[in-house]
Amino acid sequence: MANFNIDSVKQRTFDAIVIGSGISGGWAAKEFTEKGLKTLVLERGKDVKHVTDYPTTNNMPWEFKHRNQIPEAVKKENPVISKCYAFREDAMHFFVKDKEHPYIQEKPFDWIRGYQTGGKSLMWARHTQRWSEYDFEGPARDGFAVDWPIRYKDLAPWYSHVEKFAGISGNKDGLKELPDGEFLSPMEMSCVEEYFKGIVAERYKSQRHVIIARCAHITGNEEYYAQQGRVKCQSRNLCQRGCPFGGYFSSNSSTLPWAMKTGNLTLKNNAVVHSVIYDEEKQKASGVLVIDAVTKEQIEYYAPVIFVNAAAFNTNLILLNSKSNRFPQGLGNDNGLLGKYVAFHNYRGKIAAEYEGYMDKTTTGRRPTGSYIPRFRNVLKQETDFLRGYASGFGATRMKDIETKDLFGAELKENLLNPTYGPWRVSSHMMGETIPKEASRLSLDESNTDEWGIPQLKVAIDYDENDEKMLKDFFEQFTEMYTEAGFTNIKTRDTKQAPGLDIHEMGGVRMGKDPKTSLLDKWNRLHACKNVYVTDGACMTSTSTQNPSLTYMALTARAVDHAVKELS
Amino acid sequence: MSMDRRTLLKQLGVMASGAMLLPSCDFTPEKIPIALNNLKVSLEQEALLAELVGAIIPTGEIPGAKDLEVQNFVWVMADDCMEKEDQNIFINGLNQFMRYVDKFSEISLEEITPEQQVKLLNEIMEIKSANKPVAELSAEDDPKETPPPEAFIGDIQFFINQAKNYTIRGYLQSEYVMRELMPYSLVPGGYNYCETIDPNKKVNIHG
Repeated sequence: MANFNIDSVKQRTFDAIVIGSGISGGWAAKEFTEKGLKTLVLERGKDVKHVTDYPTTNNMPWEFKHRNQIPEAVKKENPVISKCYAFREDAMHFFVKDKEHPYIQEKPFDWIRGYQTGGKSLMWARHTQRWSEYDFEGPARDGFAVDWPIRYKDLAPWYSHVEKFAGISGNKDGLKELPDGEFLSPMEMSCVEEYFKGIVAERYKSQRHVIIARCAHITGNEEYYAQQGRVKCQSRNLCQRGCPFGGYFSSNSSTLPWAMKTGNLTLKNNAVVHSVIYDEEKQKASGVLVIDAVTKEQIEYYAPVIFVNAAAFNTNLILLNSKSNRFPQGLGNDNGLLGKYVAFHNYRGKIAAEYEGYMDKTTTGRRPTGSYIPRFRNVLKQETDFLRGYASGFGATRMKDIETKDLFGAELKENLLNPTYGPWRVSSHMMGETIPKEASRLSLDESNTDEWGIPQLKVAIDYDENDEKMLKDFFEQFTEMYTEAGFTNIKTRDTKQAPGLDIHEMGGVRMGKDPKTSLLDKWNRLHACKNVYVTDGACMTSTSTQNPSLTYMALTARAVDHAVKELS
Repeated sequence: MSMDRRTLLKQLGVMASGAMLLPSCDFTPEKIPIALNNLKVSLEQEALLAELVGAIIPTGEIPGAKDLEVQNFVWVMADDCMEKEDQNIFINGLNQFMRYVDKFSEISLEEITPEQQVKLLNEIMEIKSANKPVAELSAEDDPKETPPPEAFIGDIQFFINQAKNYTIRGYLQSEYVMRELMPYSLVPGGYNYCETIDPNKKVNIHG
């Protein structure tokens, strides 16, 4: 029996444990296994294998019973997830349903989650803009949050490292506020997007830029990606279903199969992490306590280094729930700041208009990305009555119209079968930086536990005056830019959506120089428990405006490199 | 459109008692109404919706909506994707539409032309009226004294509009239209950022 136990412990001991298989966990797995470490990846949800577990990927539109609409009964049962733009009939099986995993909204927060192998990397929007020097300097310059312990130069080589492997399409625009990366050929801007680019450059003396977004799609260097079993993006724009070509980057199509090929990866599904185990004697973490999602059995796994990549808020939850004599308020939480200073991106602003130029031209097909306008407010210095700024999406597509009003019968049929070209439709949405504040916090509700006996997460996060001012500025500036371009019928809209729907929640375990005011050091290690790393959204000291996943990937690869050096 | 109820019933082989008139040597499967998750519909209601769908996008050289069985899509959408309250109005609108045609239309199923169908629909849609939602009506009115169908013009118009919207959607996103008329390419999706429009080429909303 004794031997059996020793063997069992041995079997449950690895060189590294990674909690979570999403975009950052997948990267941790790849880097660790490539460096020869036996790595255990714990995924709380079911397995989703590349290609074989994409049930809807080759469906034609008419094969969806409700033509991709979500039935009323599903909406009623799932008011939160139903608000998510990607929660449609074709991909609804990849999203967490409200009822299955409740949480407590102390203030309205729409928490969008994907519990499966690959996490949200399966359904993400694939935008991959680098942070710039100005972004890392932000908190120090403007006096909010704490200073980032790293600068752009620390991360730049790691951005290159992950970009090359993931496959990032983009144009070298030479912008200091949005550094260039290792790009495959860019996708193309539509002619009205090009036109707007010209107008904006001229009117704002090259202080504002309209560019094609950098996105995680393979558009070249095909031999290299063939090694991952991935081929060129087919422009299907059905990414949220999972891509049989591996045309876009996900853990499922790229990092996890790569890690698996090394023979060093063990992926465990249905593994709900209860807490990180702290060894009071050795004064470091020794492993992870897991509850089997199905059998509810408790199992411990051990490793000398642990990466927590459970997705921003769940990483906070796990650490808050990792209590010991040494850390009664949660692992590494000596200063009581764990779960605090969370923030997100303000996506409330939308603007749309029409343009009647280029009437002899049209767009066709399905480009899986859009144009992008990097932040132009307060970049070099403070110039508005609000802090920081916003980036924006931009898109221009030729409309195709069918007149149906008051028509029945032959006349209606004639119109349906003979659509006409309408004006161009242009639109933008705001991606505003929000300021992390101590009052924006996550905590645990010990009296409300989930199915696995884990306390539910309480979320208290809200917009503030800075966000309102920034929203107003977005409307003003874009109305001006659109007017300059001759766009008409300009309509602005405040969606008033709650935080969360941006799916860019960040912070709570922030990086910083000082253990008194931050949780993680410059290598993403807990100041107070140096063999535990956090490299998902939870580590973010500030949010900037860029879609954050690329930064998590780069931070992860950099942190693994450090962790492996520390071990040897 | 023949909404002559008796003719419709006869056509369907349904007697007043609701029993099926089936000759003993007829081995065609017994007609049963479409199976839905929430709504229970009768063969009569089903037949009426099929007629309406056919009137909205009529048959011809190119198949119409009824030819493509778009009525089944309309039922599925009404059943699964409509809020309960709207569903009640939709069904009441359908029933009242049946009564309305019964009362006001002189034309029988065999005689009506597509033009007459359109004329009838236009007439109904042009009536200015705002009846109360059906739920309120049934609560305060004496059930024995069912109001005449024209009292429900609002419901009827709602029903026709919803049916029309779903018919258009089901038709444009039918396999036939998306393969034969305005092809949808699953792979590759393609992208042309600035194509010069050829005025002789049909506009493809799925292209």
